[in-house]
Amino acid sequence: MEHAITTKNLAKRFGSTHALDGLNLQVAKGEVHGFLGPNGAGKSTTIRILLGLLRADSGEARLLDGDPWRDAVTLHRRLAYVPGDVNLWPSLSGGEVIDLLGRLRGGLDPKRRAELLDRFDLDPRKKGRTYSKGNRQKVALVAALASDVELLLLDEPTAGLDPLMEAVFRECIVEERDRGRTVLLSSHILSEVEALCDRVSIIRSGRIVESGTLTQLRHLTRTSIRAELTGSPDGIADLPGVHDLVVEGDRVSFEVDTPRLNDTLTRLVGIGVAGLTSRPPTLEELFMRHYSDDVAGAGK
Amino acid sequence: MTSLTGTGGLIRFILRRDRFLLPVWIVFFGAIPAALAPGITEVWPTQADRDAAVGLIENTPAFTALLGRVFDSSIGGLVAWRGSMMPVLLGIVTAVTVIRHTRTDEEAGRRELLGSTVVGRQAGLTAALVVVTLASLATGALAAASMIGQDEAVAGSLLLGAQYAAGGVVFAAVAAVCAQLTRGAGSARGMFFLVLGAAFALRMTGDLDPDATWATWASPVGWLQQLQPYADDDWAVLALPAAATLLLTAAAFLLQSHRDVEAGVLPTRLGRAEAGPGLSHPTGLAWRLQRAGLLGWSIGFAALGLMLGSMVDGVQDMLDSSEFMQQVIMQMGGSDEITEAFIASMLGILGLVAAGYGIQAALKPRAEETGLRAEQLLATGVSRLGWTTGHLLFAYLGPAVVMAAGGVTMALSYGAVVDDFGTAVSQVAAGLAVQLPAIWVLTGLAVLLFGLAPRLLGLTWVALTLCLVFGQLGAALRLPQWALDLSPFTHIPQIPGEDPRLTPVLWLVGVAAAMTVAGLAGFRRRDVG
Ligand SMILES: Nc1ncnc2c1ncn2[C@@H]1O[C@H](COP(=O)(O)OP(=O)(O)OP(=O)(O)O)[C@@H](O)[C@H]1O
Ligand SMILES: [Mg+2]
Repeated sequence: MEHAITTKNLAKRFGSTHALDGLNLQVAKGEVHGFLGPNGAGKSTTIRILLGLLRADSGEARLLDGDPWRDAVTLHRRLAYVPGDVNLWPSLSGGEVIDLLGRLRGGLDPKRRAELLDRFDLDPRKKGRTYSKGNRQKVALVAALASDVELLLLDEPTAGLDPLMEAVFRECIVEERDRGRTVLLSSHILSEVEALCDRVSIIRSGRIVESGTLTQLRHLTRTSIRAELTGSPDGIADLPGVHDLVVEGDRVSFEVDTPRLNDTLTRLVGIGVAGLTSRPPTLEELFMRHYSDDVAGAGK
Repeated sequence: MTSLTGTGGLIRFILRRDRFLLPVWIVFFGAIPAALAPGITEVWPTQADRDAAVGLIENTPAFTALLGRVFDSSIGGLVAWRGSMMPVLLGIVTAVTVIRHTRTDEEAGRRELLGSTVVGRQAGLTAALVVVTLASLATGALAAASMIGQDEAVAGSLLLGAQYAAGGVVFAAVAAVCAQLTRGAGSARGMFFLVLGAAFALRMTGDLDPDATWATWASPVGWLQQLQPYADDDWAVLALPAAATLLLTAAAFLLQSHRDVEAGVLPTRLGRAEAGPGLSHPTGLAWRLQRAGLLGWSIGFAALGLMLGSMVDGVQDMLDSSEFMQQVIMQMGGSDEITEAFIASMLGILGLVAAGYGIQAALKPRAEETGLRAEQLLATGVSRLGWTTGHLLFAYLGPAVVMAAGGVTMALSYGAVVDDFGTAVSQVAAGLAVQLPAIWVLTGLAVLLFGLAPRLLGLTWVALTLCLVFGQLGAALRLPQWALDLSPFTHIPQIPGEDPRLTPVLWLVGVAAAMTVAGLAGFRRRDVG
């Protein structure tokens, strides 16, 4: 598999803060890669190193087969960046900013620009100082999406968008993927990640703690089971991987580590099953587990 | 919640942020009068010496233009005259402080953050004004106490202190209004300096032209001077700055309560839907961001040049009308020399002010960086050097443009007075040209700090203030020569008057170039943001 982004043991300190602490991130060409993690985990720092804005203290980073620090200028013509906090020049209109950024990246497609302005419902004549937060975000998004680039680095790009615009954004990202572009999408909006991303990496305290497809990640966690049994539920509590068992007469509900699902179901069938519902973990449950402290130790 | 809720908390917040800067400038300005006194006693030990000195000073137009008239020949009177620029400089410091704690914060969105907590809408402005008012009073008290400590007249010393405090307070109020009228901190500062320049010019006109005393009374700088500490001790004049402060403060509050957060009072129009051809390289963007500043400064300089040039007329009248001066003039080599010395010192002032423009332009890239706008550009195919160069063009060539604007009007008005345009143009052109290398040294310092220690960039303003104080007061404070030599302006020849010496000028250019190269090299290496 060809990679658009690889980092090896990337480390970056700010004074005594270890913002990145041995980060290994891999993003394959042509995929939409979700980049998740709690506040202050190091997502923006990673992206800014990939952009050559910050210099890593140690470790290695490759971006489109170049060195993000040394080859910054040539690499930047092949990518577009949308920061989470878009600040515009107060005296420049949105349209001017879009054209400026597009031209500095090597030109943008006027038809696509017009189409995106229309879809995002953005008035390009307003001055930077008069845009709302969401509209500033749209200016940066239109500039990035209208550029002909191979890679999009998006750092919480939808932080200020309303739900309608969020839907437009999702359509656009799907189109980008269909065009073969690679997207690194840092986000706190789980439904967005679920809808768009082929793979995700979860970062905590400057390290990647989990990486893979959502299916693979789900596999690493628990499934909820409710069952109506025809035999005695005794012994279920002792099965390896079963948690939070509640027994009410012949009904049981519990959670089971997903790798143990098969063994557990076999056992239930042995007892006799009259009814069964199983529910995969929600994304929230998945991420809560990875974000919260007790996993930090368990993840290693 | 009233509009003042949270003022106390904001005052503490400002005091904490300025905990180093505030005491430094209070002590610095408060100590100046007492530091000037020994030098004056040394140069003019007896009352007879001082009387003679006052006669000479009163008849030297360059002195009158820069420092105003001298009202009394006592040591205190001479201290008040020699340091007469200091209350105005104190005013600049308080003004910049007020703008920093109101407009700059608002621009950076901090105001919005605070505004959403339990802070009333007038609290920010109130807090900033309270802090600088208290600091100005402290400065004045220190100045008065130290002069009384040197056995100067008590009433005069108190009024001298009041003069410092009034300078600090009245210009803070001017700045408070400027900060409400404009949208950005940069333009608020620009507007303030325009008002200050006009006030200074009016004071100069009033002092040099006996028919124009109205000009003195129309100027806050004139009011400060007319307090006449140690001479008339005219306490009643204090009513003028006091009334102006109250009116301006009321106006600032009124303006603030009628506008939205982050908006200015002056409206904004719709822009273009598509960028023009200029906005396709970083220099084009720098031009868009810097052109208004350049234009404003150029217009200001043109007005200043016109005024300074035409003052030569008043200077010559003054020389002709004084028998005492006729003798001095003969000794000094004729009236042309006096006129030339006047022109040279005015050009020196233009040079220092133009350095302010150079620094402001050189600080723009840092403002772009901390405002998180630079990272969007640097994430495109723009190199760090390419991006910086656009702004540095303004920092290095802008001062030349600005001074040329002032030079043209000055040469024309001066040439009209002496009826010799050829000489006027060549003298002014040469006098301005030698200022440039000294200005570039300060610009170079800004670039050096930008590349190597961006957090210390504010020191560039400290350096400019020191150049101003050393240039104006260095000899009077009996500073050692090496200290005076730190200012690049010490090294440039006085033109017209002195022979143009090329060596120091080349040295300055070399120093400026070295700092620029080191700064740019540092910037290529460091983190952005
Ligand atoms: N310029 C800087 N100076 C000092 N510390 C910094 C700087 N930039 C980031 N940090 C610190 O580095 C750590 C990682 O920050 P980063 O911005 O990368 O987090 P993030 O994952 O993007 O968080 P968020 O979800 O809140 O955007 C934080 O502890 C932050 O305080
Ligand atoms: Mg972030």
